[in-house]
Amino acid sequence: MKRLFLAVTVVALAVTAVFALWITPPRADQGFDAVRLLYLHAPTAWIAYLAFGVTALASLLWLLPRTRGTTWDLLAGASAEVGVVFTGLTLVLGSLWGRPTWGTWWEWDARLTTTAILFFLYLGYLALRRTGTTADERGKRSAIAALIAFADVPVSYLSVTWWQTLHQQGTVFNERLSVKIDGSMAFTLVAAVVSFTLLYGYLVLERFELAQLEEGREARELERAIADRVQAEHVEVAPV
Amino acid sequence: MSHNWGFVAAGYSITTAALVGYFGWVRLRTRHLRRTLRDENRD
Amino acid sequence: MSFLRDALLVAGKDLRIERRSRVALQQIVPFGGVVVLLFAFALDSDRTLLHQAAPGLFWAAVLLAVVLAVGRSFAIEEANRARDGLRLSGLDGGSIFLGKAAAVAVELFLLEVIVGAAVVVLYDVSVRGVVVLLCAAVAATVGLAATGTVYGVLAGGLRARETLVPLLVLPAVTPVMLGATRSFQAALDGVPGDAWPWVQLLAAFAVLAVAAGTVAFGPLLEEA
Repeated sequence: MKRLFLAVTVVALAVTAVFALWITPPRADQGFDAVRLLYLHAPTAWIAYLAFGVTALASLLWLLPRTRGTTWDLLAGASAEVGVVFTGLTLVLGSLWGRPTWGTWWEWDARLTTTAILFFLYLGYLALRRTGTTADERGKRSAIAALIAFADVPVSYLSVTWWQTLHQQGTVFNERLSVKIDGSMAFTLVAAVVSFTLLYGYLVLERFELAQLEEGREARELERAIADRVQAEHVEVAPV
Repeated sequence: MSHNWGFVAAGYSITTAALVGYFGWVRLRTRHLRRTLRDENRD
Repeated sequence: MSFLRDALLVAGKDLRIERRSRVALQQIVPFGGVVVLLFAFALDSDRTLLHQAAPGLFWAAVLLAVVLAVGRSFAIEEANRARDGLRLSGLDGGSIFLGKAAAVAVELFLLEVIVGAAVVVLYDVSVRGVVVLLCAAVAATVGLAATGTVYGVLAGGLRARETLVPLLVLPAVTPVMLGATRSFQAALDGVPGDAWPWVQLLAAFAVLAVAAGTVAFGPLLEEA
Protein backbone atom coordinates (compact mmCIF):
# COMPACT_ATOMS: atom_id res chain seq x y z
CA MET A 1 0.00 0.00 0.00
CA LYS A 2 2.74 2.44 1.00
CA ARG A 3 4.84 1.24 -1.94
CA LEU A 4 1.96 2.07 -4.28
CA PHE A 5 1.57 5.51 -2.72
CA LEU A 6 5.26 6.19 -3.28
CA ALA A 7 5.12 4.90 -6.86
CA VAL A 8 2.13 7.10 -7.72
CA THR A 9 3.84 10.11 -6.15
CA VAL A 10 7.08 9.57 -8.07
CA VAL A 11 5.21 9.13 -11.37
CA ALA A 12 3.16 12.27 -10.73
CA LEU A 13 6.31 14.25 -9.94
CA ALA A 14 8.04 12.93 -13.07
CA VAL A 15 5.10 13.91 -15.30
CA THR A 16 5.07 17.37 -13.70
CA ALA A 17 8.80 17.77 -14.29
CA VAL A 18 8.45 16.86 -17.99
CA PHE A 19 5.67 19.41 -18.45
CA ALA A 20 7.43 22.07 -16.40
CA LEU A 21 10.80 21.73 -18.11
CA TRP A 22 9.93 20.91 -21.74
CA ILE A 23 6.30 21.36 -22.71
CA THR A 24 5.38 24.73 -21.22
CA PRO A 25 6.65 27.82 -23.10
CA PRO A 26 9.26 30.29 -21.77
CA ARG A 27 7.90 33.75 -20.93
CA ALA A 28 9.54 36.96 -22.06
CA ASP A 29 7.89 38.93 -19.25
CA GLN A 30 8.75 36.44 -16.50
CA GLY A 31 12.47 35.96 -16.96
CA PHE A 32 12.19 33.64 -19.98
CA ASP A 33 12.85 30.10 -18.85
CA ALA A 34 13.10 31.20 -15.24
CA VAL A 35 9.29 31.06 -15.24
CA ARG A 36 9.73 27.29 -14.97
CA LEU A 37 10.60 27.91 -11.32
CA LEU A 38 6.97 28.90 -10.85
CA TYR A 39 5.98 25.22 -11.09
CA LEU A 40 8.11 24.53 -8.02
CA HIS A 41 7.70 27.79 -6.15
CA ALA A 42 3.88 27.90 -6.15
CA PRO A 43 3.32 24.28 -4.99
CA THR A 44 6.05 24.40 -2.31
CA ALA A 45 4.46 27.56 -0.92
CA TRP A 46 1.06 25.87 -0.93
CA ILE A 47 2.48 22.82 0.87
CA ALA A 48 4.11 25.06 3.48
CA TYR A 49 0.78 26.63 4.35
CA LEU A 50 -1.04 23.29 4.18
CA ALA A 51 1.52 21.68 6.49
CA PHE A 52 1.24 24.40 9.13
CA GLY A 53 -2.55 24.27 8.85
CA VAL A 54 -2.42 20.52 9.53
CA THR A 55 -0.11 21.18 12.50
CA ALA A 56 -2.55 23.73 13.93
CA LEU A 57 -5.51 21.39 13.43
CA ALA A 58 -3.74 18.42 15.01
CA SER A 59 -2.64 20.63 17.92
CA LEU A 60 -6.22 21.74 18.46
CA LEU A 61 -7.37 18.12 18.47
CA TRP A 62 -4.70 17.30 21.04
CA LEU A 63 -5.89 20.13 23.27
CA LEU A 64 -9.54 19.06 23.18
CA PRO A 65 -9.96 16.53 26.01
CA ARG A 66 -12.24 14.29 24.00
CA THR A 67 -9.75 13.75 21.15
CA ARG A 68 -6.50 14.00 23.12
CA GLY A 69 -3.96 11.38 22.07
CA THR A 70 -0.27 11.05 21.26
CA THR A 71 -1.20 10.50 17.60
CA TRP A 72 -2.20 14.15 17.16
CA ASP A 73 0.92 15.41 18.84
CA LEU A 74 3.19 13.27 16.66
CA LEU A 75 1.23 14.22 13.54
CA ALA A 76 1.58 17.92 14.42
CA GLY A 77 5.33 17.50 14.81
CA ALA A 78 5.73 15.48 11.60
CA SER A 79 3.71 17.97 9.57
CA ALA A 80 5.59 20.96 10.99
CA GLU A 81 8.95 19.42 10.12
CA VAL A 82 7.91 18.71 6.54
CA GLY A 83 6.43 22.22 6.45
CA VAL A 84 9.73 23.79 7.48
CA VAL A 85 11.53 21.90 4.69
CA PHE A 86 9.02 23.21 2.15
CA THR A 87 9.09 26.74 3.58
CA GLY A 88 12.86 26.82 3.22
CA LEU A 89 12.54 25.61 -0.38
CA THR A 90 9.88 28.24 -1.09
CA LEU A 91 12.24 30.98 0.06
CA VAL A 92 15.18 29.67 -1.95
CA LEU A 93 13.07 29.16 -5.09
CA GLY A 94 11.44 32.58 -4.74
CA SER A 95 14.87 34.11 -4.48
CA LEU A 96 16.12 32.23 -7.54
CA TRP A 97 13.11 33.36 -9.52
CA GLY A 98 13.27 36.91 -8.25
CA ARG A 99 16.86 37.47 -9.33
CA PRO A 100 16.27 37.18 -13.12
CA THR A 101 12.75 38.71 -13.06
CA TRP A 102 13.09 41.54 -10.55
CA GLY A 103 16.83 41.92 -10.54
CA THR A 104 17.18 41.22 -6.81
CA TRP A 105 17.51 38.10 -4.72
CA TRP A 106 15.13 39.43 -2.15
CA GLU A 107 12.14 41.75 -2.28
CA TRP A 108 10.54 42.90 0.98
CA ASP A 109 7.05 42.15 -0.20
CA ALA A 110 4.38 40.94 2.17
CA ARG A 111 4.30 37.32 1.10
CA LEU A 112 8.03 36.81 0.97
CA THR A 113 8.61 38.50 4.31
CA THR A 114 5.75 36.69 6.03
CA THR A 115 7.08 33.39 4.69
CA ALA A 116 10.48 34.18 6.19
CA ILE A 117 8.86 34.94 9.56
CA LEU A 118 6.89 31.69 9.25
CA PHE A 119 10.11 29.79 8.68
CA PHE A 120 11.62 31.06 11.93
CA LEU A 121 8.39 30.66 13.93
CA TYR A 122 8.25 26.97 13.08
CA LEU A 123 11.98 26.43 13.52
CA GLY A 124 11.34 27.63 17.07
CA TYR A 125 8.40 25.26 17.34
CA LEU A 126 10.57 22.31 16.26
CA ALA A 127 13.28 23.35 18.73
CA LEU A 128 10.66 23.45 21.48
CA ARG A 129 9.58 19.92 20.58
CA ARG A 130 13.11 18.59 20.91
CA THR A 131 13.74 19.79 24.46
CA GLY A 132 13.09 16.37 25.90
CA THR A 133 10.39 16.15 28.52
CA THR A 134 7.45 13.82 29.09
CA ALA A 135 5.10 13.12 26.17
CA ASP A 136 2.18 14.91 27.84
CA GLU A 137 4.23 17.94 28.75
CA ARG A 138 5.65 18.14 25.22
CA GLY A 139 2.19 17.69 23.73
CA LYS A 140 0.72 20.51 25.79
CA ARG A 141 3.53 23.00 25.28
CA SER A 142 3.95 22.36 21.58
CA ALA A 143 0.19 22.38 20.89
CA ILE A 144 -0.16 25.79 22.50
CA ALA A 145 2.97 27.07 20.73
CA ALA A 146 1.63 25.83 17.38
CA LEU A 147 -1.68 27.64 17.85
CA ILE A 148 0.03 30.88 18.88
CA ALA A 149 2.36 30.67 15.88
CA PHE A 150 -0.58 30.02 13.58
CA ALA A 151 -2.52 32.99 14.97
CA ASP A 152 0.55 35.19 14.57
CA VAL A 153 0.71 34.63 10.80
CA PRO A 154 -2.26 36.81 9.71
CA VAL A 155 -1.11 39.66 11.98
CA SER A 156 2.39 39.47 10.53
CA TYR A 157 1.00 39.42 7.01
CA LEU A 158 -1.18 42.46 7.71
CA SER A 159 1.64 44.45 9.28
CA VAL A 160 4.08 43.69 6.48
CA THR A 161 1.44 44.59 3.86
CA TRP A 162 0.86 47.97 5.47
CA TRP A 163 4.55 48.55 5.77
CA GLN A 164 5.04 47.89 2.07
CA THR A 165 2.10 49.97 0.85
CA LEU A 166 3.44 52.88 2.86
CA HIS A 167 6.94 52.60 1.52
CA GLN A 168 7.04 51.45 -2.05
CA GLN A 169 3.82 51.83 -3.92
CA GLY A 170 3.34 49.84 -7.08
CA THR A 171 6.82 48.45 -7.46
CA VAL A 172 7.88 45.49 -9.52
CA PHE A 173 6.74 42.78 -7.22
CA ASN A 174 3.10 43.17 -8.20
CA GLU A 175 4.09 41.64 -11.49
CA ARG A 176 4.09 38.23 -9.95
CA LEU A 177 0.39 38.48 -9.23
CA SER A 178 -0.36 39.16 -12.86
CA VAL A 179 1.32 36.15 -14.42
CA LYS A 180 -1.00 35.37 -17.30
CA ILE A 181 -1.49 31.69 -17.52
CA ASP A 182 -2.20 29.81 -20.73
CA GLY A 183 -3.42 26.25 -21.24
CA SER A 184 -0.31 24.15 -20.73
CA MET A 185 0.85 26.39 -17.87
CA ALA A 186 -2.44 25.99 -16.04
CA PHE A 187 -2.35 22.22 -16.47
CA THR A 188 1.27 22.05 -15.28
CA LEU A 189 0.50 24.15 -12.22
CA VAL A 190 -2.42 21.92 -11.27
CA ALA A 191 -0.29 18.81 -11.84
CA ALA A 192 2.48 20.30 -9.73
CA VAL A 193 0.14 21.13 -6.87
CA VAL A 194 -1.41 17.64 -6.97
CA SER A 195 1.91 15.81 -7.13
CA PHE A 196 3.47 17.91 -4.37
CA THR A 197 0.42 17.33 -2.19
CA LEU A 198 0.91 13.59 -2.72
CA LEU A 199 4.57 13.97 -1.83
CA TYR A 200 3.64 15.93 1.29
CA GLY A 201 1.23 13.17 2.34
CA TYR A 202 3.86 10.51 1.80
CA LEU A 203 6.60 12.39 3.65
CA VAL A 204 4.33 13.10 6.62
CA LEU A 205 3.36 9.42 6.72
CA GLU A 206 7.01 8.35 6.80
CA ARG A 207 7.94 11.00 9.36
CA PHE A 208 4.95 10.08 11.50
CA GLU A 209 5.98 6.42 11.56
CA LEU A 210 9.49 7.44 12.53
CA ALA A 211 8.11 9.60 15.34
CA GLN A 212 6.08 6.64 16.60
CA LEU A 213 9.20 4.49 16.62
CA GLU A 214 11.14 7.14 18.53
CA GLU A 215 8.28 7.49 20.98
CA GLY A 216 8.09 3.72 21.47
CA ARG A 217 11.78 3.48 22.14
CA GLU A 218 11.66 6.25 24.73
CA ALA A 219 8.77 4.53 26.47
CA ARG A 220 10.68 1.24 26.49
CA GLU A 221 13.78 2.86 27.90
CA LEU A 222 11.72 4.42 30.66
CA GLU A 223 10.09 1.05 31.41
CA ARG A 224 13.46 -0.64 31.51
CA ALA A 225 14.84 2.01 33.85
CA ILE A 226 11.88 1.56 36.17
CA ALA A 227 12.26 -2.24 36.05
CA ASP A 228 15.98 -1.94 36.89
CA ARG A 229 15.21 0.36 39.75
CA VAL A 230 12.55 -1.95 41.15
CA GLN A 231 14.92 -4.89 40.87
CA ALA A 232 17.68 -2.97 42.62
CA GLU A 233 15.39 -2.02 45.47
CA HIS A 234 14.30 -5.65 45.87
CA VAL A 235 17.90 -6.71 46.19
CA GLU A 236 18.45 -4.09 48.81
CA VAL A 237 15.34 -4.96 50.73
CA ALA A 238 15.66 -8.75 50.57
CA PRO A 239 18.55 -9.36 53.06
CA VAL A 240 16.90 -7.42 55.89
CA MET B 1 19.74 36.96 -24.81
CA SER B 2 19.97 34.98 -21.63
CA HIS B 3 17.26 32.46 -21.04
CA ASN B 4 18.19 31.99 -17.40
CA TRP B 5 18.52 28.22 -17.63
CA GLY B 6 21.14 28.46 -14.91
CA PHE B 7 18.54 29.62 -12.40
CA VAL B 8 16.15 26.88 -13.49
CA ALA B 9 18.83 24.22 -13.12
CA ALA B 10 19.80 25.55 -9.68
CA GLY B 11 16.18 25.64 -8.50
CA TYR B 12 15.32 22.15 -9.70
CA SER B 13 18.50 20.59 -8.36
CA ILE B 14 18.24 22.28 -4.97
CA THR B 15 14.64 21.12 -4.64
CA THR B 16 15.52 17.57 -5.65
CA ALA B 17 18.52 17.45 -3.35
CA ALA B 18 16.61 18.82 -0.36
CA LEU B 19 13.62 16.51 -0.74
CA VAL B 20 15.65 13.39 -1.53
CA GLY B 21 17.98 14.24 1.33
CA TYR B 22 15.16 14.69 3.81
CA PHE B 23 13.40 11.55 2.63
CA GLY B 24 16.65 9.60 2.85
CA TRP B 25 17.32 10.84 6.36
CA VAL B 26 13.86 9.78 7.54
CA ARG B 27 14.23 6.38 5.83
CA LEU B 28 17.69 5.69 7.27
CA ARG B 29 16.67 6.68 10.76
CA THR B 30 13.52 4.56 10.59
CA ARG B 31 15.51 1.56 9.42
CA HIS B 32 18.14 2.10 12.11
CA LEU B 33 15.50 2.32 14.86
CA ARG B 34 13.66 -0.76 13.57
CA ARG B 35 16.91 -2.72 13.67
CA THR B 36 17.82 -1.67 17.19
CA LEU B 37 14.31 -2.46 18.41
CA ARG B 38 14.53 -5.91 16.82
CA ASP B 39 17.92 -6.51 18.44
CA GLU B 40 16.59 -5.43 21.80
CA ASN B 41 13.68 -7.85 21.44
CA ARG B 42 16.07 -10.70 20.73
CA ASP B 43 17.93 -10.17 24.00
CA MET C 1 -12.34 41.56 41.36
CA SER C 2 -10.18 39.13 43.28
CA PHE C 3 -8.78 38.17 39.88
CA LEU C 4 -7.24 41.61 39.46
CA ARG C 5 -6.18 41.77 43.09
CA ASP C 6 -4.29 38.49 42.66
CA ALA C 7 -2.66 39.85 39.53
CA LEU C 8 -1.53 42.94 41.44
CA LEU C 9 -0.19 40.69 44.18
CA VAL C 10 1.98 38.74 41.73
CA ALA C 11 3.11 41.90 39.95
CA GLY C 12 3.99 43.47 43.30
CA LYS C 13 6.00 40.39 44.27
CA ASP C 14 8.02 40.45 41.03
CA LEU C 15 8.64 44.18 41.18
CA ARG C 16 9.69 43.98 44.83
CA ILE C 17 12.21 41.27 43.95
CA GLU C 18 13.53 43.46 41.16
CA ARG C 19 13.77 46.49 43.41
CA ARG C 20 15.80 44.57 45.94
CA SER C 21 17.97 42.55 43.58
CA ARG C 22 18.44 45.46 41.14
CA VAL C 23 19.08 43.06 38.26
CA ALA C 24 16.71 44.91 35.96
CA LEU C 25 18.15 48.29 36.81
CA GLN C 26 21.80 47.35 36.98
CA GLN C 27 21.97 44.81 34.15
CA ILE C 28 19.05 44.99 31.73
CA VAL C 29 18.86 48.79 31.40
CA PRO C 30 22.63 49.17 30.90
CA PHE C 31 22.42 46.38 28.32
CA GLY C 32 19.91 48.50 26.40
CA GLY C 33 22.33 51.41 26.60
CA VAL C 34 25.20 49.31 25.23
CA VAL C 35 23.06 48.22 22.29
CA VAL C 36 22.31 51.88 21.51
CA LEU C 37 26.05 52.59 21.48
CA LEU C 38 26.77 49.55 19.31
CA PHE C 39 24.30 50.70 16.66
CA ALA C 40 26.14 54.01 16.47
CA PHE C 41 29.39 52.13 15.86
CA ALA C 42 27.70 49.95 13.23
CA LEU C 43 26.42 52.98 11.33
CA ASP C 44 29.76 54.77 11.59
CA SER C 45 28.36 57.61 13.71
CA ASP C 46 26.73 59.01 10.59
CA ARG C 47 24.41 61.59 12.09
CA THR C 48 21.78 61.68 9.35
CA LEU C 49 21.64 57.92 9.11
CA LEU C 50 21.33 57.49 12.89
CA HIS C 51 18.72 60.22 12.99
CA GLN C 52 16.62 58.47 10.31
CA ALA C 53 17.00 55.01 11.76
CA ALA C 54 16.50 56.08 15.39
CA PRO C 55 12.95 54.64 15.87
CA GLY C 56 13.96 51.26 14.46
CA LEU C 57 17.19 51.09 16.43
CA PHE C 58 15.37 52.09 19.60
CA TRP C 59 12.82 49.30 19.21
CA ALA C 60 15.47 46.77 18.24
CA ALA C 61 17.23 47.57 21.51
CA VAL C 62 13.93 47.18 23.40
CA LEU C 63 13.23 43.84 21.71
CA LEU C 64 16.61 42.49 22.78
CA ALA C 65 15.93 43.68 26.31
CA VAL C 66 12.54 41.90 26.29
CA VAL C 67 14.37 38.60 25.95
CA LEU C 68 16.45 39.40 29.03
CA ALA C 69 13.49 40.66 31.05
CA VAL C 70 11.48 37.53 30.32
CA GLY C 71 14.42 35.29 31.12
CA ARG C 72 14.81 37.11 34.42
CA SER C 73 11.08 36.94 35.18
CA PHE C 74 11.18 33.15 34.99
CA ALA C 75 14.65 32.72 36.47
CA ILE C 76 13.24 34.02 39.78
CA GLU C 77 10.58 31.29 39.63
CA GLU C 78 13.13 28.55 38.95
CA ALA C 79 15.23 29.46 41.99
CA ASN C 80 14.24 27.47 45.07
CA ARG C 81 11.51 25.87 42.95
CA ALA C 82 9.36 28.96 43.47
CA ARG C 83 7.40 27.81 40.42
CA ASP C 84 5.89 25.05 42.53
CA GLY C 85 4.95 27.58 45.16
CA LEU C 86 3.23 29.68 42.53
CA ARG C 87 1.38 26.66 41.21
CA LEU C 88 0.24 25.55 44.64
CA SER C 89 -0.66 29.07 45.75
CA GLY C 90 -4.25 28.58 44.65
CA LEU C 91 -4.08 31.70 42.50
CA ASP C 92 -5.79 31.49 39.14
CA GLY C 93 -3.39 30.90 36.23
CA GLY C 94 -4.79 33.89 34.36
CA SER C 95 -4.14 36.27 37.22
CA ILE C 96 -0.59 34.96 37.67
CA PHE C 97 -0.04 35.64 33.97
CA LEU C 98 -1.42 39.17 34.21
CA GLY C 99 0.72 39.87 37.24
CA LYS C 100 3.94 38.60 35.74
CA ALA C 101 3.27 40.32 32.39
CA ALA C 102 2.46 43.58 34.18
CA ALA C 103 5.72 43.45 36.11
CA VAL C 104 7.66 42.85 32.88
CA ALA C 105 5.74 45.71 31.23
CA VAL C 106 6.64 48.12 34.04
CA GLU C 107 10.31 47.17 33.81
CA LEU C 108 10.26 47.57 30.04
CA PHE C 109 8.61 50.93 30.30
CA LEU C 110 11.29 52.13 32.64
CA LEU C 111 13.90 50.83 30.24
CA GLU C 112 12.21 52.58 27.31
CA VAL C 113 12.32 55.92 29.09
CA ILE C 114 16.02 55.63 29.87
CA VAL C 115 17.07 54.13 26.52
CA GLY C 116 14.79 56.64 24.78
CA ALA C 117 16.59 59.50 26.48
CA ALA C 118 19.92 58.03 25.37
CA VAL C 119 18.64 57.76 21.78
CA VAL C 120 17.43 61.38 21.80
CA VAL C 121 20.80 62.62 22.96
CA LEU C 122 23.13 60.31 21.03
CA TYR C 123 21.22 60.10 17.73
CA ASP C 124 20.22 63.76 17.66
CA VAL C 125 16.45 63.24 17.65
CA SER C 126 13.99 66.06 18.33
CA VAL C 127 10.92 64.76 20.12
CA ARG C 128 7.56 65.49 18.49
CA GLY C 129 4.06 64.03 18.76
CA VAL C 130 4.35 62.99 22.38
CA VAL C 131 0.76 61.69 22.62
CA VAL C 132 1.28 59.32 19.70
CA LEU C 133 4.65 58.23 21.04
CA LEU C 134 3.13 57.44 24.42
CA CYS C 135 0.14 55.53 23.02
CA ALA C 136 2.34 53.51 20.69
CA ALA C 137 4.87 52.78 23.44
CA VAL C 138 2.20 51.62 25.89
CA ALA C 139 0.45 49.37 23.36
CA ALA C 140 3.74 47.94 22.11
CA THR C 141 5.05 47.34 25.62
CA VAL C 142 1.91 45.49 26.70
CA GLY C 143 2.08 43.32 23.58
CA LEU C 144 5.78 42.58 24.09
CA ALA C 145 5.43 41.82 27.78
CA ALA C 146 2.42 39.54 27.23
CA THR C 147 3.99 37.61 24.34
CA GLY C 148 7.27 37.31 26.19
CA THR C 149 5.57 36.01 29.32
CA VAL C 150 3.62 33.35 27.39
CA TYR C 151 6.80 32.06 25.78
CA GLY C 152 8.62 32.35 29.08
CA VAL C 153 6.31 29.86 30.76
CA LEU C 154 6.16 27.76 27.58
CA ALA C 155 9.91 27.21 27.77
CA GLY C 156 10.02 27.27 31.58
CA GLY C 157 11.84 24.39 33.23
CA LEU C 158 13.09 23.00 29.94
CA ARG C 159 16.74 22.51 29.22
CA ALA C 160 18.16 25.14 26.86
CA ARG C 161 15.45 27.53 28.05
CA GLU C 162 17.73 30.57 27.76
CA THR C 163 18.41 30.00 24.08
CA LEU C 164 14.92 28.80 23.23
CA VAL C 165 13.10 31.94 24.45
CA PRO C 166 14.72 34.38 21.99
CA LEU C 167 14.10 32.03 19.07
CA LEU C 168 10.43 31.74 20.02
CA VAL C 169 9.75 35.35 21.04
CA LEU C 170 11.55 37.41 18.40
CA PRO C 171 9.80 36.08 15.26
CA ALA C 172 6.44 36.25 17.03
CA VAL C 173 6.78 39.95 17.87
CA THR C 174 7.76 41.15 14.39
CA PRO C 175 4.35 42.87 14.03
CA VAL C 176 5.16 44.89 17.17
CA MET C 177 8.59 45.79 15.83
CA LEU C 178 7.05 47.04 12.58
CA GLY C 179 4.10 48.80 14.20
CA ALA C 180 6.09 50.54 16.91
CA THR C 181 8.86 51.63 14.55
CA ARG C 182 6.46 52.99 11.94
CA SER C 183 4.32 54.89 14.42
CA PHE C 184 7.40 56.42 16.07
CA GLN C 185 8.71 57.36 12.64
CA ALA C 186 5.44 59.04 11.71
CA ALA C 187 5.22 60.92 15.00
CA LEU C 188 8.81 62.16 14.80
CA ASP C 189 8.35 63.17 11.16
CA GLY C 190 5.46 65.36 12.26
CA VAL C 191 2.70 63.32 10.57
CA PRO C 192 0.95 61.69 13.56
CA GLY C 193 -2.06 60.92 11.34
CA ASP C 194 -0.03 58.16 9.66
CA ALA C 195 0.74 56.63 13.04
CA TRP C 196 -2.79 55.82 14.19
CA PRO C 197 -3.39 52.71 12.06
CA TRP C 198 -0.15 51.34 13.47
CA VAL C 199 -1.14 52.18 17.02
CA GLN C 200 -4.40 50.32 16.41
CA LEU C 201 -2.46 47.33 15.13
CA LEU C 202 -0.28 47.44 18.25
CA ALA C 203 -3.35 47.67 20.46
CA ALA C 204 -5.00 44.74 18.68
CA PHE C 205 -1.83 42.69 19.05
CA ALA C 206 -1.65 43.56 22.75
CA VAL C 207 -5.28 42.54 23.32
CA LEU C 208 -4.76 39.23 21.49
CA ALA C 209 -1.55 38.48 23.36
CA VAL C 210 -3.08 39.25 26.76
CA ALA C 211 -6.15 37.14 25.97
CA ALA C 212 -4.08 34.20 24.71
CA GLY C 213 -1.80 34.37 27.72
CA THR C 214 -4.64 34.55 30.22
CA VAL C 215 -6.20 31.41 28.75
CA ALA C 216 -3.01 29.42 28.17
CA PHE C 217 -1.00 30.26 31.26
CA GLY C 218 -2.85 28.10 33.80
CA PRO C 219 -2.51 24.83 31.85
CA LEU C 220 1.12 25.64 31.01
CA LEU C 221 2.06 26.23 34.63
CA GLU C 222 0.64 22.88 35.73
CA GLU C 223 2.80 19.85 35.38
CA ALA C 224 1.33 17.24 33.08
